[in-house]
Amino acid sequence: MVRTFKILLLILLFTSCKSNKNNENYYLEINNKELIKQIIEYKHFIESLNQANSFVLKIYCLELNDSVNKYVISKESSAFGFLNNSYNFKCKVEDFDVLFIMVSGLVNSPDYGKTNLNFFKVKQSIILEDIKKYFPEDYKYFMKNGNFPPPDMFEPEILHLTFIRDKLVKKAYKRGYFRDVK
Amino acid sequence: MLAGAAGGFTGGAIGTALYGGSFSDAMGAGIKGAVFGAFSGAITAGIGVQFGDVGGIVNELGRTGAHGLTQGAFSALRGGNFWQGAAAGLFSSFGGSVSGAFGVTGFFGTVAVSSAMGGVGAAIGGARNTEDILFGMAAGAMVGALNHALHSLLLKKREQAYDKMIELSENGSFHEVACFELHDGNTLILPEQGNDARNANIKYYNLRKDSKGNPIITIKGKTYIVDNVTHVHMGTYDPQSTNPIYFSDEDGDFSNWIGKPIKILMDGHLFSTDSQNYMKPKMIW
Repeated sequence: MVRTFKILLLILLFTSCKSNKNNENYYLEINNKELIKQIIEYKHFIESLNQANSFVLKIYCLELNDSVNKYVISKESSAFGFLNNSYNFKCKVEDFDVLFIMVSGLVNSPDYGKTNLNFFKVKQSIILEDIKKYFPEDYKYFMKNGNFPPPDMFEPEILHLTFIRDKLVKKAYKRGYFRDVK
Repeated sequence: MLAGAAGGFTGGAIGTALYGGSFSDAMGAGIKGAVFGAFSGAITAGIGVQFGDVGGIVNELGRTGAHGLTQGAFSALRGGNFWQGAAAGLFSSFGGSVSGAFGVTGFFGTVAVSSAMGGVGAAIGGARNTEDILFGMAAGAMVGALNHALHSLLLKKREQAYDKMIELSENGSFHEVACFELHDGNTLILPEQGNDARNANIKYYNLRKDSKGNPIITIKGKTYIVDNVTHVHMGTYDPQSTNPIYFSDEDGDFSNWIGKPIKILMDGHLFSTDSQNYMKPKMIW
């Protein structure tokens, strides 16, 4: 009887660990208050424009040198774009998912639509689960048609943040691309 | 429906006030106008969907007749004269259909022409007091806003379409405009509703991919292959900049989706680029 109870307890522990792995344990924590503040500000900025039905924030991380880091905050409002700009890890800010993309690991693809050339990637099954969560309509479309609907053309300013070590030294809302330097 | 309600309320309230009614009379007439306007707005928009973009003479005669009947019926239902409402609907729809031929293609211009024609129609139909003429104008504005101004423009020459898009994007308020470049050579300029300086709505006519991966749309049951989607970027082309035409993440995503460089109209020129070459976009027009 005790043996059976122990086995059941082990099974219970195992299944609960598996569940955690797929949920909260998957999130990293942001260890910089200024970055958190800027993420919240950008989220409010996107919401104030009232153009995206649903979106997640994505942050491109660019290491300029040993002490200078750049974070470029933008939004993602389509499943197709989400798939094309696959993230490396997730964080939560005020219960809102924020996706981080490590640009140093990106490999530019010469062919359209190829996203499998980077050094690291999140498993495709997890990406699909994310799409189901963030863009349920696009997910339904994909399940029905086998491809994704076109991305939208909502092109808001993106927020460029430059940090020297842990201090924010430059901040700019700009139209354009995350790689822009001027 | 909201646009219809707003138009009906305004027409009813102002008309009653101008006619010597008290504040409560004006509010009562306004609420009554809003209720009728909301239903009328829904049906007007439905007619727009049914008849689609401005097309041949038969299509436009059908649209004009439908608006005449609808506005006449609503005029009678609110206790007015059928013929006044019908004339307002007929004239405003006719105004919306022909305004483009006289160079009036922007949203506010089309609404203004339809509104004025609605007032003229109501007067020709026998309206003699301010309230009835204002209702005719409100009905006309609704026909213009919910019908003519929210639809696309089909042009046979690409260059003509690019010129028109530049004109539309700078007409009144600065906003992006997009078009589908069809494989048959025609160009379909998309409605501007909801567009602003950061956004061009391209999700029209069920833009999607066929089994071969070609981007396609469907208009009135007929399928067309889309060669490219061009949209306007506001601002000035700066070849010295690292991003001369403000190429964005979304542009990169779209060029990936369509499988070729995206076309962007900016500062009077047409550029072709993608996420690999955005720093040196190719000027093609």
